[in-house]
Amino acid sequence: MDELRATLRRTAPVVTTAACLIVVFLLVPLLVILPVSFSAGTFLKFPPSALSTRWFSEVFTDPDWQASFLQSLKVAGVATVLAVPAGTGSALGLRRVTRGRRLLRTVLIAPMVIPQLVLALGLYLGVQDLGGTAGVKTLMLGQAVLAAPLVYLTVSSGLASVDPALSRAAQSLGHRWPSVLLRVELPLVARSIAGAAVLAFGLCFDESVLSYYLSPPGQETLPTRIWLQASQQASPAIAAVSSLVIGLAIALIGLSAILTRRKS
Amino acid sequence: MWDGSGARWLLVPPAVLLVLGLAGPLVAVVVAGSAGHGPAGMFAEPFRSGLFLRAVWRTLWMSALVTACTWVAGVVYAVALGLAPVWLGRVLSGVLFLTFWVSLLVRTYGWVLTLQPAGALDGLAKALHLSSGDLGLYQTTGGLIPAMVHIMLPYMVLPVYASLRAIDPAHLRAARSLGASEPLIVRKVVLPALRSGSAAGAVIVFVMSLGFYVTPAFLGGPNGQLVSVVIGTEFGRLQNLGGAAAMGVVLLAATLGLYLLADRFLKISDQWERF
Repeated sequence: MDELRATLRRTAPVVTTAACLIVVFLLVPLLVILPVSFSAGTFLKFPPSALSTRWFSEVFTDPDWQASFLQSLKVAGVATVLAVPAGTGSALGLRRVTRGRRLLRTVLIAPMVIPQLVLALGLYLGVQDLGGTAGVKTLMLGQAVLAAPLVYLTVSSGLASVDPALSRAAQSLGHRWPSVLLRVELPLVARSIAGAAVLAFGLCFDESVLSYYLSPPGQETLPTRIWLQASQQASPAIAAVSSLVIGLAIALIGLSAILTRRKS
Repeated sequence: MWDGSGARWLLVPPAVLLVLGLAGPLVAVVVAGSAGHGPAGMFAEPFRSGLFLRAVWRTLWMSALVTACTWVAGVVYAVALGLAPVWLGRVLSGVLFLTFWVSLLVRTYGWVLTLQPAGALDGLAKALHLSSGDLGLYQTTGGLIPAMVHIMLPYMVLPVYASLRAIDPAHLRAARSLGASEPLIVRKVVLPALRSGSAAGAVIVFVMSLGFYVTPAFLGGPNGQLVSVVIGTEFGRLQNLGGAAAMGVVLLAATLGLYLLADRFLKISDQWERF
């Protein structure tokens, strides 16, 4: 990067200035939500004429918002518990195969590009074909599918810095693979797995399309409730909830960064 | 010798999850889609609807436009990440990750508040005496495109930045010592090196735009529907599951087909693994 900086001395200011404008563009939606969530009035007005924290206290004491928050914690928690072994297993398993590795990886990453609406429709129809009704469990399964590639990518980037010779050494000392896994490989990538779990939880907590179509009435997750409220009414309460969701996202990225930071 | 034993067992959890949660549902969509008109009719039937046909064209050109805008902005952003002073580089990557990790729905809601009549943008334009009232961007193409670019930008910046970091400093030194001017180096060394990353990013952005649902549902408006929004209406409000499934199969075939082709030729999954 230093060589690049030294070579492109005249291009740098132009490109950097343009990027600063893009930064402003990237921050627009967040910079609009924050002030609106501190409105004192009952209308969505930007900038608000007076500031207060009334919408935050309203949201905190509203049993419906509380219930949807707890529902999201539950759904995202279970989905993470399903996604972490699947993603970790993929990362560790793919290191051991040579044939078909590329194909397997293509399949493992596919959930990131499949339209979520089609997946929601498929989960709904699939459960119906089996004679049931799509509900919270279906949603958990679907979110786990969406989060698994993220866990896989995070853990395999952690594994990239682990020397495969360590596993070979353990095996030549007489350890069978389950013991190599438990005593050598998993401890070495434990931090990556923890960081991946936090990211997966954040992804599932914020996931909205599957939530919207699969949450049964009365058991809405937080994104579903935001979606329904935002399309029905205009109240700064939604902006207040959005600000809280932004705050939670920042906390989760921070936590994940601390967990995955490599010890120097 | 480390013979890779245990691979089969380690791949059991992902296999179970993907069969139950991905393969099964996708088969269910195809089965429901072909129930009405048979496997061949399934692809033809949705195209008989004028609404769907218009949505397909709209989706294609909007996705192309979003990809083009994201491409330009993404390359600029990625190059700036490499060229900016260290502190500014940190700000740039911090903001990018922040927007990447903030809920898609929340960011979309932020755009709703920005673009809606008497929203933030109208207020700003009025304060600056640029316009007297409503800019009329809410639920129009002009408002939807920037919001979609906003959501897609990180998917472009990350692979381009990975390519930028992979440029061999020796190439740059060689170009300089042979007397190449800065514009020539940009044109002949830097931009060609970014080609694979930006192609991978562009395909991902295009594929994701084809199936993009949340932002177009809020900002698209009744006259500017995209394929996914049409499917969502059939699925949710109208409960026409067979019709939704047939359209879903068309969307699925397009996105999966492009993803598989791109992965074969542009090695997209390799690119993603490098982050």
